[in-house]
Amino acid sequence: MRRVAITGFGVVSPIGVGREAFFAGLESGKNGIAPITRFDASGLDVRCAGEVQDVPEPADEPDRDLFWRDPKVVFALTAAEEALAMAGVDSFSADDLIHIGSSLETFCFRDFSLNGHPGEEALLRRLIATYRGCLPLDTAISRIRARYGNPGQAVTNCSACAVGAQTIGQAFHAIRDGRFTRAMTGGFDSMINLLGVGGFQLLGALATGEPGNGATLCLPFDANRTGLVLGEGAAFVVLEEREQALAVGKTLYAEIVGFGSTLDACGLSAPDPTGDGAVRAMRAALADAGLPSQAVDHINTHGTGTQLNDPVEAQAIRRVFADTWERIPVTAVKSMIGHSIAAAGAIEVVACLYTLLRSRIPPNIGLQKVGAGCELNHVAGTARPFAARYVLTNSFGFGGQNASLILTQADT
Amino acid sequence: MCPELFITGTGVLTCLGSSLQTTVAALAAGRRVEGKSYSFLAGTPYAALSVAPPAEPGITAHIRDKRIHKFMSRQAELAAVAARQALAQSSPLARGIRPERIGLYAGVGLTAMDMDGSVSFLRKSFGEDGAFSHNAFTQKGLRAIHPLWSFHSLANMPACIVSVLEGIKGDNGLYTPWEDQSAFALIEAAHALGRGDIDCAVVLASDTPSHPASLVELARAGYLAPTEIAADGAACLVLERSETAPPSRRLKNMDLVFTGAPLHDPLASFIGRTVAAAPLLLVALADACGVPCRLTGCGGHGFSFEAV
Repeated sequence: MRRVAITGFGVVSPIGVGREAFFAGLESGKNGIAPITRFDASGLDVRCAGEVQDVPEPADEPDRDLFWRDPKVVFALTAAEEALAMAGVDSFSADDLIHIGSSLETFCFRDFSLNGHPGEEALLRRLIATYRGCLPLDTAISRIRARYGNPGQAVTNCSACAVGAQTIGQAFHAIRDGRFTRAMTGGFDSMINLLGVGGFQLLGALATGEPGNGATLCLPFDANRTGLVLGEGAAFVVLEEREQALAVGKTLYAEIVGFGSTLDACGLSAPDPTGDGAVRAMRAALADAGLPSQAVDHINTHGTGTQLNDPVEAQAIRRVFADTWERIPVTAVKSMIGHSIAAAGAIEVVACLYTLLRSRIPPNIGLQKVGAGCELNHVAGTARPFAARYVLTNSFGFGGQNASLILTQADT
Repeated sequence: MCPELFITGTGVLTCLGSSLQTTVAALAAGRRVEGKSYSFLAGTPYAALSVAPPAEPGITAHIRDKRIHKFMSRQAELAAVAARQALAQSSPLARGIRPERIGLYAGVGLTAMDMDGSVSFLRKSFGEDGAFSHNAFTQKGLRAIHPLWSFHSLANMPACIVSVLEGIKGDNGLYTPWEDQSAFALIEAAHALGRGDIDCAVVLASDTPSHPASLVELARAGYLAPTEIAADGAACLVLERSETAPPSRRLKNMDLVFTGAPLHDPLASFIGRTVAAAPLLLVALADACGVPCRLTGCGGHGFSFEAV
């Protein structure tokens, strides 16, 4: 069976743009959550988010206004540039796969104007004109292809919060199965806009308030957690068939060894309270890797900070790792960067790379008092030294999609 | 290599019929898609675009779970009806296939927000000067948005809703927004069956290109020729390997490899451009007519289909 290695990765996050800045943010426990600056959020109940700061303008981008129309596409281009440069890829060929994902099209209301008070048909025409500013979810792939050429296959995944892990897992299988020799894969997203924040506010899923003294608003597994905080960003990894990568002298940063994907089939707005879908995803990833549960020595949780999700995930982890959960250190990086929805799983894979490459586990920075049902071996407050061999990361999606990935150190 | 696959259930919704049988009968009778224009596009560059009315506008009223129905966009409704048809025919759960061994793979089209709701919240989001106003949006417009807006808009919802309605718990993959992504859903399903990750794959495709916003976006992006008629559609195939499939049709000569194929939808002149739904509709209709076919996707937006 082919082995699959990571030969490059790029990341755009609220705590740093680029892998070194992101790693430094993880190391220091940087809080990337702050009052929203992208637009005037003063009229909303939700006024904080994890915004990406200081995004460099992508080179050779013909649409100078792209960031303001859809920042997530710029995040994707920036992360792709870093990942591909690190892997020494300057163009795609028929042996390549692009498998990336995002969650929701962006609708631009910025320039929308009624010009008076038109009738219904005129309003509909205006609405259509506004929708024309809508950028399809494959916009990022189109821009990446324009810059790097056509791969053998280009896929836009729309598995919501599970996208990041789904795309990487499916690309891993595509290479392991021999369908492709190389893939660029991951997720990108931003819902920090009027409709995104407003829509999630309507669901009552977001944490409100503005904590002072630099404290984070996102409190995964904490007794005082009040909901998720939106983040944004992008992360891509370049996966290559290991032997081929070694043959041309590439550096291997880690290997993907297992992937599991399941559906709750229970409800749309809340996880299965039994955690069954999450349990099956983790067990499927272990089976895919051919590993016993005892082999996993670190878990990067989905950890959103919502009342319902956190205890369900903790319960699922305790079920799967029944003999070992008390010694497995777990973290929740959303405490630093918020929930970047479709980018989250991929950013958390890069956080796993930080653990594997630097022998450090990033902290859950807001955790002070573990919530009922959330009992795990939490890494709270500050980063912890830890030499992990097998790392599992979870991504669970709105609508009941679950994905788990297992990474390990590159064995060269 | 893809395994030998068997179709054990098929669901079809087109502008000519609300089932595989009625669509095939309509085609056999020589019926073709007929389009009409949106009056509010008169005077715009999109005035000539036309869309097909649905064969049975009330078909989605038969969705039994009224609570979940509230969460559904029209794309999700079409997906749910097509899936019910296919699963009623295949009945994998009744045949003893466990829910966690059934996978779900789907391709869906552009997000299609409810137009009435969109107009309502936009109308309340303007200031006195007629321009979009943040204040008006947050104070009045936001309250006019359907509280389940996120469920209607997220592209993964049609498939997730089907998973809940039908109790599908296995591997999954959801893709958007053009034809090739639905073809990819079929490919992922075939490989998951081949690896043994699942015993049964429910492959879905649903699209609503007749939605005014989707229609204009398709035309603006050059994916819809002025002579083409946009039509909503959905299809669902239940696929299995030989060891679990009851005596049924083999999916013959299906070439599930992506190539650099040009965009080509041979059904467009019959049932309209159904965009993301097209690849599965093609396979379903070809299979029903006993036509061995080859379906290929490409790295761009297209796919091609040929009878072999």
